[in-house]
Formats: sequence, C-alpha cells, structure tokens
Amino acid sequence: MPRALVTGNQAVGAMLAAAGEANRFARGCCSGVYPITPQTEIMETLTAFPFTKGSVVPVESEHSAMGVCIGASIAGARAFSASSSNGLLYMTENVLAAGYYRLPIVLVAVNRTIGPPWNIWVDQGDSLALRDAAMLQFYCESHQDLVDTVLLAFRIAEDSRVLLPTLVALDGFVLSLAIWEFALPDRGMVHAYLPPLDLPHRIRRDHPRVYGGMTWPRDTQRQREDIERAMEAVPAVIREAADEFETVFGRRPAGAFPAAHTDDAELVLVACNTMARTALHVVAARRARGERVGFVRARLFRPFLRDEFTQAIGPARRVAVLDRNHSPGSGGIFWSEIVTSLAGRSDVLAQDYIVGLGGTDVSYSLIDGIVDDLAAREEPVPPVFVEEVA
Amino acid sequence: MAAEAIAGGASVVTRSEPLWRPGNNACAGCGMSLGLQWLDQALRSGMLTLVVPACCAVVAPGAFPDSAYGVPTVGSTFASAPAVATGLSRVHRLNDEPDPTICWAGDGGTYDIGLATLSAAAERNEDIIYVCYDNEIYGNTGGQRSSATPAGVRTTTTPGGKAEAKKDVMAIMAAHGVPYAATLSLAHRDDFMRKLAVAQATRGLRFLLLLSPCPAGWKSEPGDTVELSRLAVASGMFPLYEVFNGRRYRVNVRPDGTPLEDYLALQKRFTGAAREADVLYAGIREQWARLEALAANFPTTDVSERAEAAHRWLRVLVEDRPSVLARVAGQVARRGINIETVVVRSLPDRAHTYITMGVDAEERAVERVAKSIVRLDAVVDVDVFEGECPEQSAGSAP
Repeated sequence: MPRALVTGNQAVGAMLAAAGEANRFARGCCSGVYPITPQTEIMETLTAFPFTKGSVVPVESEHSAMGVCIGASIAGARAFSASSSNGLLYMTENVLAAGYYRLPIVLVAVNRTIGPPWNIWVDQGDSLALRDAAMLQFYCESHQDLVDTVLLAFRIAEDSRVLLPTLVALDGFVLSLAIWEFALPDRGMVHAYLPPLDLPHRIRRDHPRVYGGMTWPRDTQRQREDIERAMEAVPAVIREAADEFETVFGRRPAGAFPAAHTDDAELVLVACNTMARTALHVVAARRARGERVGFVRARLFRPFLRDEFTQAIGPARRVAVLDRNHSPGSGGIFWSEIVTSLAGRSDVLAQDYIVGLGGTDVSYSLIDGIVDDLAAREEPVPPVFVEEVA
Repeated sequence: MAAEAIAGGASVVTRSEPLWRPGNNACAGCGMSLGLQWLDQALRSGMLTLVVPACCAVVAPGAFPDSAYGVPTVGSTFASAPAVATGLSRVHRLNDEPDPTICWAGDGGTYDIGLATLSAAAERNEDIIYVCYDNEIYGNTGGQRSSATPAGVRTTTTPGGKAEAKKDVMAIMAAHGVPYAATLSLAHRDDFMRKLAVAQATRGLRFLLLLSPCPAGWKSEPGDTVELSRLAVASGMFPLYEVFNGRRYRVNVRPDGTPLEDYLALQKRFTGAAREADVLYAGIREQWARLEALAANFPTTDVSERAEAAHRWLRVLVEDRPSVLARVAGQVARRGINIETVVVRSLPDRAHTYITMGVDAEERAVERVAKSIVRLDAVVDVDVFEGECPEQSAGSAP
C-alpha cells in the first residue's frame, strides 16, 4: 500500500472524496460544504476533487451544508460534510434531523473550542455538544486512525442494521494541520471495501413516501426506540466491518477502547484523540519503572459501549479520566459516561480531570502529575481543573 | 401506481395519484390547500419531488402512516427547504431524472427564517421551483406577525396593528437575477397555469409568490377565499406581474378601480385606524408607481410577442467585403438582442452595401449596439430609426 505524507485535513478530504467516488456506479455523491477554521482545508479538498458522478455545493452556512446532505442522502447519494466549533452548533438542528431521517451521512468534526470568547484551538466541546443526536461518534488519534475510521464510518453508517449519521472527530491543528505519514488506501481498495450505497428508504418516484411528516406521540416514541435498537446493533456491525477491513487492507482498525498494559494495572489513564498518545508515553515510562499503570483510549463515544469499557480497564481500581471538554454543572462528558458504566463498582475510584480547554497544552508532565494525584487519593472529588505549571 | 418509461436516456415517471389528495386536514377555505390542487393540475401527470419546511403544509396532509401527498415529499427543518431541495435536485440531475424539485413554503419560511437559505439557492441558481404560499402571517402557530404581514394588520404579536409595511420579497428575488419570478392569484386561474408552464419550461431557480388567504388568521369567511384573492388584485393590493432574469418586468393584471374598502370589508384583521388612514393607499400607489416604472423601462413583450414588434431599425452602411454581415450581426447578438428582420442591399457602386436590421429592444441598448458597430473597420456609417422601416433608396455612396 502506498504511503502518504499530508496534513490530517488532507487525509480526511482524500478519504471522503474516495468514498464518494466509490459510489459512482450507484447514485453518486453529494456534499454541502462551508468553511470554518480549522476544517476549511477539508472542504477545499472536496471542492477541488474531480468527481465522476458527484456534486459539491458551497453553501451559505453549516445549517444549509447539512441541509444539502440531507436532500442528497434521501435521494440516495453518498453524502458527507465537515465542520468545527460554532459551525457544528449552527448545523445542529439538521444533524439531529439527519439522524431522525435515518440517513448514513458522514460528518467530520475538526475539534475546536466553542466561542465566545473566540478561540480557534482544540477542545472537544463542539462535537460533544452533539452528544444527544442520533449519531455515532468516533474520536481519532492519528492520520492512520483517521483514514481508517472515515472508511469504517461509511461502512457502518450505511449498514441496513444501523442507518445513522456518523461523526469522525479529530483535534484541530494538533492533528488537522500536522503532517504525518500513513498507509493510503488506494481507490480500488476503497471501492472494494465500500459497496454501492442502496439506501432502502431513498426517494423512489414510483413509490411516493413522505419523509419528516407528522407523527403521533406513540409512533414518535417507537421511532426513537428503533434508533436505540440500531445503536445496539453497532458493536456487531463494527466487528464485521473491521473483519472485512482487515481482509481488504491487510491491517486491523482500532476498536472502541484500544488499551495497553491494563492486564495487571492498578491505575488506568483514559483519554481521547491526540491526548491519548501523550498519555500512552506517560504510561510506557512508568511501566519502565515498574509501576502498574495502564492506558485506555476512548475511540467510540456513541454508542458508548459500557461493557467493553469495563473490560478494557481490567482489574484497575483507579481510573483517571482526561476530559478536554466541560459540561457546566456536571463535569467532564467522558467521565460521566464512565461513572455510569462503573455503576455498582464501588471498588473503582473514577476521578475526572478537566484539561486542555481552549487548546491549553496537555503535556507529558501534566499527565504525569495526574497519575501522581490520583495515586494519592482515597475518595473522588469534584472535577479537578488541571493547568500546566509554567 | 405509476408507469415508468425511458425517454432520451432519462426515465420519465407519470403519476396516477393526485399531488394533494382529498381528506386532508387543511382548514376550510385554506388558500394553501387550493393552491396545492392547482399545482397538481398545472403539473398534470408529471412526477415531482416536493420539499415543504415545517409549516401548515406539513401538518395539513395528516400524520403517519397517512398522508394527503401523492408525490415523494420531504418535510425539512424550517429554514432548510431550499438547501434540502438543492441536494435532491443535484442528485436527481446526476441520475438523469428530469422531474422538478418544488419547494412549497409559507411566508415565515420564505421572508423570515429561510431567507438566507433561499437567497443562497437563488444566487447559485439551483434548479428548483420555489413556491411561497403567502398568508401574511405565522398561521401554523396561531397567527403571529411575519415580515410579510401588511401594515395595519392585527396579529397576536401586533395587537394594535403592525406598524411596518410588508417586505417586498419579489424585489429581493428579482435582485438575485433569478430566471423567472412571478406572483400568483387564486382568482386568476389561467394566469396561474400559464406561469406554472413558463416556470416548468425554464431552468434554474424559479420563484412564485402565491397570495394565500387564511380564514383563521384573516378572520374571513372560508367561502370568501377566492373573492379575497380577486379583490386583492383588483384593488392593487397584490399586483400580478412577472420578472424575467431580474430585469424584464411585465404587469399581468392592473387594478380596475375596485376600492380597497371592498377587500378590507371581507376580513377583520385590519385595524380601524389602518382602514381610515392613508397608509395602505399610499403603499399601493407607491408600489404601482415603482412597478410601472420598471415595466416601462424594460419592454414587457415576451418571446411570443416579439416577432410582430420590430420597432427599431439599425441601418448600417458597409464596404462590400466578405463576412461583414456576420461581424455586424455578431455585435447585435453579443448584446442579447434578437434580429427580427434583415435586408441586405448592394449599392450601385458595387463597393458598398446597406444592411438594415429590425430589432425589438430599448433605445439605449440599440444606441450601444450602434456605437459598437460603427467601430468595425468595414463600417462606414450607422443610423437608428424608430417606427416605420426606413426608406432604403439607394442614394449615393460616399
């Protein structure tokens, strides 16, 4: 497989384009796009791509970008877009609508802090504000993870057991602008991996249907329940998609909670995105000194696979959750999912650490300090905001 | 339910179901409901995709699993109809499916929350027919003001009467230079059908504005919906006109002297003060002065009438050389002016020729063409005449 050396955004753009192009023998692809830092490079890559059967529409807002994707997807095309920060919030109404229409749209979120005050740097508050959308959410740590996850996202979203939009998140600048080497799936492989999209409920002119009409309360609750059942089907679909991925590309993509050194760990660090790589270095160094420290990366946030998480941490009794996000009045969002997963496990101390908001550096020493902090605690305390010591 | 045939590489689907079935939940006398029936008739048996934002047009067809719509219909979020229609229309085109994508939205979705989305779709000239059923109120939520509400109208949010005038959304759409924009009335069926036919024959974004009386909001009798539509046009309150490419205005029906009071008397939404004050009359006068000025500046004859109206003549004296005629004609064509007639006549000296072209165009445009023709190196002189064909006596060559 050829190696590529490009920015994270370019890698994402190339994969979205390849996925769209792979549907050229079916109903083609279509994307509504709108610029926002630090995502812009992705939409520029898409508008420049010479699709055989595709249409990229530069619209006037993120809200309309998702609107175009909704229309295109209902018409049976492969649809995708990308945004960041306030752009994701402006798009939100239509992101939720896409889920309720059951459309397998892939949305890339280049994480950036929500303003005001204005700040272009990374935290995950933007994509996590879409937490309650009917949408899968993946968080990526590297260019390889990104390109693999984008392809998996289409495969999983378009599976008839799922049919939900899927979000793929990456850190703004830290990953989106970083140039990194990775194995680039070629067009033939992408085509082999992504079957032509045949959306079962797409618009058919010989079979008129209404999308998004009125429903009575009972039908509405049933529709929501259907979505929950689709989320429950995700683990099996992911396994199959990963098996097939390995067959086509010769490597296995990461799972929901990639872990290291958890077999005998007393304390486990949990983190997502690029922070996770820094955390892994801290864990490796401590392991070299004989400390029983482990590492878990939160890659799949929706659905949140509680059993897989509790298995991933192994026998550890202390869990340090690094949250680069903040839900005022509650704390970190990953942490609240994790304490729910550990309900009934009074033997486990899960402590929330809020770090890196607004793009503050989450350094090796900062994470190292968190390990020491948790090792010394006996009781959980309210979320701890950790700052780098100058 | 539908037969499918392949025509010219594109599949054509005909429908046997009405677009808008009986038994729907629309209120008695709903202008929107009548408008949907007329839309069905205007499109005859052709298939289409309908996009309706969250408004009465989503509620009136009924709830799952029933619907009054007999065509594929997407109920979009409130502000998104033109964006969703863009996605549908683009993918239909990618797949050689020629049926139109039609947005059917109220004044709230058009003048207010969806205006940016509509503006962007118009600026991109998306291949969409956009119909605004304008009941001049947020009818679905029980009658609040919108920017389409005329001055003097009492709504739940303007209990003393609205102070501001109705927004001129036609002017906004014309300013985008959309290929076709027109107003529609439920009292002028032939005009409605003709405009839908023009819209269907045109590509790009076509904007149609339908005055849609709402008995619940207007406090009018359901049986008066068509009469209200007629009086709105006859009194000059709602002009029937069309705009081609944002420039050529044509007035279809002028006020016939019917007093505005007749229109106001059939509804209870206008305050007494509004009825007595001059504000509504002044608004109508101002609207018509503007409209007539636009229609006067840009001749209103359309393609079908143009052949009999060659009323300006360009007489060009040229040196008799190969391809001069083509170059002269090219200058006319470049400005988008159609040559109705052309006469070429050699002069006795065999070295010069008169080319006389009849055109239907405004004076300034013809003057500009004349200036560009006279700059051609083989051209000796250009004259512009109005009215009768200029006498083409030989005269003497210079």
